[in-house]
Amino acid sequence: MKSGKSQTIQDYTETLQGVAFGPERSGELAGEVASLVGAVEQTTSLMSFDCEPSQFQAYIGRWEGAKK
Amino acid sequence: MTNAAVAEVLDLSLNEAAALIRRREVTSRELTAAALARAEQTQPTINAFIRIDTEKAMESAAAADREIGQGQYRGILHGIPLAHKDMFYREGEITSCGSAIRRDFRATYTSNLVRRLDAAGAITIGWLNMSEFAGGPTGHNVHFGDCCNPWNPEHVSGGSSSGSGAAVAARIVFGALGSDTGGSIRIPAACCGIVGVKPTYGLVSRHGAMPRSWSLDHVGPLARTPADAAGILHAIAGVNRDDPTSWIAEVPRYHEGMQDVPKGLRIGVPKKHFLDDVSADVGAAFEAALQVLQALGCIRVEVDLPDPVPLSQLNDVISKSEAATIHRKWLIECPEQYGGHVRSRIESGLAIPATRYLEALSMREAVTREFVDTVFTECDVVCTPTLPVVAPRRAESNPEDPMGVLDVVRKMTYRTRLFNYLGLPAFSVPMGLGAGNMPVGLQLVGRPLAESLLFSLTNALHDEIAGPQPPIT
Repeated sequence: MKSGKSQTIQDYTETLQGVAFGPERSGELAGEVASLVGAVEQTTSLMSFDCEPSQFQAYIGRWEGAKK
Repeated sequence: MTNAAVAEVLDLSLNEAAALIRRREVTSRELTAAALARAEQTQPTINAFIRIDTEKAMESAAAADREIGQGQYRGILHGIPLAHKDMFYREGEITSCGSAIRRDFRATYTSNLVRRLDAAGAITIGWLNMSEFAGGPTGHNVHFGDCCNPWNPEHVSGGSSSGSGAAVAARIVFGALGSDTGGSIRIPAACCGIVGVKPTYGLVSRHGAMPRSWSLDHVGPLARTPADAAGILHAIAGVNRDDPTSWIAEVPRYHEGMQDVPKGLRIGVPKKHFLDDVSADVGAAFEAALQVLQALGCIRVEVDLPDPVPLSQLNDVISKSEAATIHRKWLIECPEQYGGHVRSRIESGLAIPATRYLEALSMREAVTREFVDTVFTECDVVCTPTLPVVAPRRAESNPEDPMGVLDVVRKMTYRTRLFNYLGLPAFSVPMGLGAGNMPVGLQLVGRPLAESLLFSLTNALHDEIAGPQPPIT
């Protein structure tokens, strides 16, 4: 992980979340978050914004047995 | 009954014990006392409990006996000893969530699930060990000690509902509640050779259950037979106004009609991904279970399932974001009070942008619809092994080894996490023994609200391949 990304995560978590990580841990977190965000990126074609985030609940709720 | 005879009742199924209580051939007091004695006996070896409530349990049992004696029998849970993962609130009582941070936390209200089980007449004999804050698939716990597998205490019980798996398998109690955010009911069920039910998202309220991730948490039962799990699920399922995500109104009587497996039911076996890293012993048990299902009239079909990794990562984006939200204050104030691996698994949620978290949530309906519309046109139920191997040895899955725990988490939740994102019902049932005579589990997944079908199928399977029970140590 490039040190720039590590520094960004370090600054972000300290400034905005109030939790200070060292450079090494920030680098690990940057790598992990990049991987997770990448998974979201791969699926963005399925995004929709109608009644979110309750749309999923509405989908399940349409199955037999659910409260109408 | 003599003490020895009552102890033998503990070895029966919940439904069998309930029949004896109803006929007043055994009292709830006798059975509860035997359960408490076995809890104390096995605690040094298995460490299934965080707290044992002897006095309250015996008071509840006495009340149950009085009611039953007066002809006021409430149903199959009346007078039955249960115990639950230590994350369900009861007003005024401690709920530790397996943590040091909440070691002395007293709930200010009672979980809807606890209230429902109380109303059904069930006896809570104590609160069960768990992975700290429901994070971790092995059952290691640095604060309360590791929960050990009744089949062999050198092995993990599975987690995070570790005590729920161990206490039921050790025949201390007839059933237990657990929670599942990425496999935490199914994994201990597989490790301990019992039945674990992760219901459809929304079928069971999460009210009064300390959350790991409110969008992904599912509460469900662990029991020794599908019929026992069905009885508990029926008691806890259904609309609860205290949980807006609980909206399933019509709860079937699952334990009725369980003998009927629809002929020609299509059993979907994944063509790839889900079987790639399965050990030879688990693979053999899986094939044997499929043959039993075929002998029951099911049709085996090979199905294309998506790669579970991207779906599991979407699950992680949500679970880590929500866990970090829940824990941020404590991560600032008292980070040293967490186990190292528990803290490290939450921390990355602090760095996930809110936009990405909401994107992962926004895709959930479309991803689930696509999965259901493709996979469940080819088959009716998906079958996979729950785990690729038998329960690992505790020493070989040390969560305080950062690289080790990531590898263990990845392997143990590879087949389970995606179904939390999808919200589909997923059961784990025993499918015999593998290496070292340790149990292995079969995972069955259905369409939304397919619990009745899954109970019928697992009940038939259980009748055919139910194996031995672990020794009482």
